[in-house]
Amino acid sequence: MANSNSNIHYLDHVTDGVILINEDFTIVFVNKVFVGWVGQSADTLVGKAIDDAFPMLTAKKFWPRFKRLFKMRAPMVLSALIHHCFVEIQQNNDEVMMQDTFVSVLQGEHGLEGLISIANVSEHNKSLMMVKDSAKQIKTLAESKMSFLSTISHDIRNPLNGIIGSTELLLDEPLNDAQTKLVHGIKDSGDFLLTLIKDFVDLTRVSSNQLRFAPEVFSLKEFFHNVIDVSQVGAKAKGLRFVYELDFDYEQTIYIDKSRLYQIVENLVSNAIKFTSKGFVKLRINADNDQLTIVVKDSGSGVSLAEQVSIFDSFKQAKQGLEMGNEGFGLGLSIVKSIVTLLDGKIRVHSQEGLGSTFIVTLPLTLPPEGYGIEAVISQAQPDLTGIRVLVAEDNQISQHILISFIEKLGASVTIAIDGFAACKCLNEGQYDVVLLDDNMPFKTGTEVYSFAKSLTDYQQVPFVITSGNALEEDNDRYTEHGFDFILSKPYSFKDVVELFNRMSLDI
Amino acid sequence: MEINEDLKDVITELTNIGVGDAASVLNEMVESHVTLQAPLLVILTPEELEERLQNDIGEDISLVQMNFNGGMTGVANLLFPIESGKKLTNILSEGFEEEDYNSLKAGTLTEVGNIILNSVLASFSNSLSEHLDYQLPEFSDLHVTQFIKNELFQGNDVSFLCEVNFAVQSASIEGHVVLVFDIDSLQAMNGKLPELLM
Repeated sequence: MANSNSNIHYLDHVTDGVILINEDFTIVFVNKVFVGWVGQSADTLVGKAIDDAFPMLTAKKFWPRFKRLFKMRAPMVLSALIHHCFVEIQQNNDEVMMQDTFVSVLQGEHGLEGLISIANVSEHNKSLMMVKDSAKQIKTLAESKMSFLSTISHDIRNPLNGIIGSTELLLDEPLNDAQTKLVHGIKDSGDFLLTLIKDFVDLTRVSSNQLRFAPEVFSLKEFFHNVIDVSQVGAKAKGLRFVYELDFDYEQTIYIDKSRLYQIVENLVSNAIKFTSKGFVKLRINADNDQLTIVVKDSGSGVSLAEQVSIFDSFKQAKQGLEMGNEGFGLGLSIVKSIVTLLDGKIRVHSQEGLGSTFIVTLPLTLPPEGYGIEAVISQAQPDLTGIRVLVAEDNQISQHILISFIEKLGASVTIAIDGFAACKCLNEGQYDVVLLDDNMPFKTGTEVYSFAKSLTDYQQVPFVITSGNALEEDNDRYTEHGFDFILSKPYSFKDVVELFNRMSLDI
Repeated sequence: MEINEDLKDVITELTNIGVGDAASVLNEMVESHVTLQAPLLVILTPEELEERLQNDIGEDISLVQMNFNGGMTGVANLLFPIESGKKLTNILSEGFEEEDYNSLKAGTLTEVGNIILNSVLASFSNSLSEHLDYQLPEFSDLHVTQFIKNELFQGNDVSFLCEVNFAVQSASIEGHVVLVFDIDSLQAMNGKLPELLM
């Protein structure tokens, strides 16, 4: 509690409205700002009880607190958001002035006084509301964009399943060199379309801050050996040498989002391969307990200094890339940069035109939460499924053919149900060890068939797999919450099917 | 200074009375029925307080802080996890949504803090017949570590932490009242124990 200043008219020079009351709640002073607001002279207000001058103060939300003011001698805060205003004042635009009010108790010359300071926050709140409205609109727009992409993703993934799966089956057939080359061309185009749709989804998530991370513990050695196996194939196909250097403890495990880390390395390596016509691509990995460093170097065309500035921007593919006839919108590096940044890491590029490029990524490593176990390594070997009875419910004929071929290749016997109703009938009448259900089927969806199956005693322990073109993270969450044991997103390859059954043998 | 069981009991009792009074004021102020419960009071060193807050609230907190002096000197604090602060503002304020901006949240939480901390301190002031001078409450969003580094903990080796559970409109919101008194105030309170325990 401070002493009030006898030069009370100083308060005419502040921007807040001020009322001073005595211990009887009688107004002893109002400043010029307040007089201007209420449109009454100071003479008509001074000497009046504050609740007579402003009857709204007797409202239950104010008065019980207010009347304890001099007993408690503690300051009071009245926020605009809860009360709108302390004194109802119509503004020029006919709106009631929003007010933040602070009441302090002071020792005046003739006893205690209450200093009521009223701030006009109408404009401030209005501006915030406008910002809030635009933020809402942006959010709605982002949601519509995501929903549109989700539909497009689903609608493209289904035919892609037919293209990618069929080409894989075709490559198992005896083909001459020209035919093999053509089929590889179709498969590469399918893979490219799939990458493109995944990149667009990621880019949309980045722009709406919705990119999700699911860290897990895994072996560095296993992870990079898989990356190297895939990279070697790509480099060899272009006649390039693929060199690697792994500088870390082979027993080391790390805790990070595995698929996002793969996305970073895969993008950098495949870019290096794409933009290098002769020579080498080198991958160097260094890790200790605190940091993972990934260096990807190539002997390719290099990037000019001017292009290095915008190389991580979306839709910016370096000139050389375009000249070399490389397809793509240049989304990969932009997404890599976003992922690296969201993982608190850094990415930089050193390059000179004609002398190749070096991309360096550093990512901080953290320890997993206590009790977090290492992810089991999934075997890539083909399992022997002889004697296993598999029910596949799928309405699309091409997808039926692909799944039957892949699963029969592993030795299992497959029964096909062409819609949801047929799937229920099969489940009711037959016995199956594994059930794969497409989600979008006539008569009953895969999730409906699953619910039906779980009402039957025979299917309590049987693994259920959802196969769907709905492959966004939200879709996967939905399927997992519904109870599905495994998800096989379209388009699937033979390798994906092998991994699915190997995962099944680990889990069940 | 060592806090004996009697002093702890008195501080617990006075805090509970204060929180109870605050509930009545909040109920008169807002349309919704507000229940406040303060089930437990613990004495903690700054290090223990930091650990406890990190466990209970997390790293980021919304804080309303009121300094007081006069018959007793110290700082009263009301802390919420940032998300709970938003939730409470959402319930108490028309037009506020959880994703809104701090400057909107700040006003409402400052008022809630003002009501609770006023009532708690008034409970001490009345029972101990000590006159207190208060500064206006201040709101901030900050990291637990920044809160513990605050000068209020310099030289004051104990603080009193009381969990406050808000039940309003079927939502349950956890907050913490942290009281820090200087040594003289604690000694004065200790000296008044015989009359307080009568």
